[in-house]
Amino acid sequence: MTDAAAPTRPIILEAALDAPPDLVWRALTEPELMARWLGASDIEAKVGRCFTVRPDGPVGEAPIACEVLEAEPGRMLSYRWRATAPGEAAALDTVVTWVLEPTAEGGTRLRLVHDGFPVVLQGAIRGQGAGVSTMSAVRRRQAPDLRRRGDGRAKMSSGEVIKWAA
Amino acid sequence: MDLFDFDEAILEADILRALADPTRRAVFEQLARREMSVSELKAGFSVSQPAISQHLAALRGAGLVAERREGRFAYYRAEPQGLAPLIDWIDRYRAFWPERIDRLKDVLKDIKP
Repeated sequence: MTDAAAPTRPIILEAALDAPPDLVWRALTEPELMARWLGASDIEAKVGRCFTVRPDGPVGEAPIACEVLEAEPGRMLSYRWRATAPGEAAALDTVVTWVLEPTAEGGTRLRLVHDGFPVVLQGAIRGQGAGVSTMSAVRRRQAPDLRRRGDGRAKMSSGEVIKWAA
Repeated sequence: MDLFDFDEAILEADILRALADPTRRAVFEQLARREMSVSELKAGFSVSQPAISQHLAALRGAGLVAERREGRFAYYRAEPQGLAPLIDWIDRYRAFWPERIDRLKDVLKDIKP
């Protein structure tokens, strides 16, 4: 977004991985490995490096334009994540951050923070009955299979928790 | 899952642009509360009527505000469903990342010495 003050909210996801941080780091930063779980990429974990990711999927997808913001091998990796359309401003301008922590069992606690999703209706939602119900109706229509729990968390298939700020 | 549809991406860029301006965002939020005429709207802002009209035009262009004409008068209201593509982004990624983390686990299993 062009307005730096525009409110945003993150997706935060935590996962317990049965592999040490150095191995997880490789999967996060080596193109051959990344291609197998996220998408074809020319990633290089150096601050300032621009790269793209093409998550596999249906035809018609656009590459995600990325730029490494922070890289601490084995510990933390952060990059811009922008979905763009030709000739247009960034449709989605966000930041993806991975934090790796070793566990006592020799595994890794992985934390993903995908931040920068715009909260455009904050003012309209706050205490405005009509706004809230309309938005909820929209949300239900748009994502009928979204299993949202009241406490703002949803279960991942593998038992971890995905959560988001309200 | 179709994460990156071009038409949708363009639409989303329009919406974000329309709401990037703080005054415009405030206009949209006012109109989410109730329908208003331009002069009613103007009373709540320290900008000129032409400026308000310009903001309204941008919001209408992005599908965020609808106009209703009554004789010589025009009334405006917010169209919250115009925001659906943005809500979509976060919902899509909420589904996207857990699935990718599951795949990451498979990759780790494969490369583990």
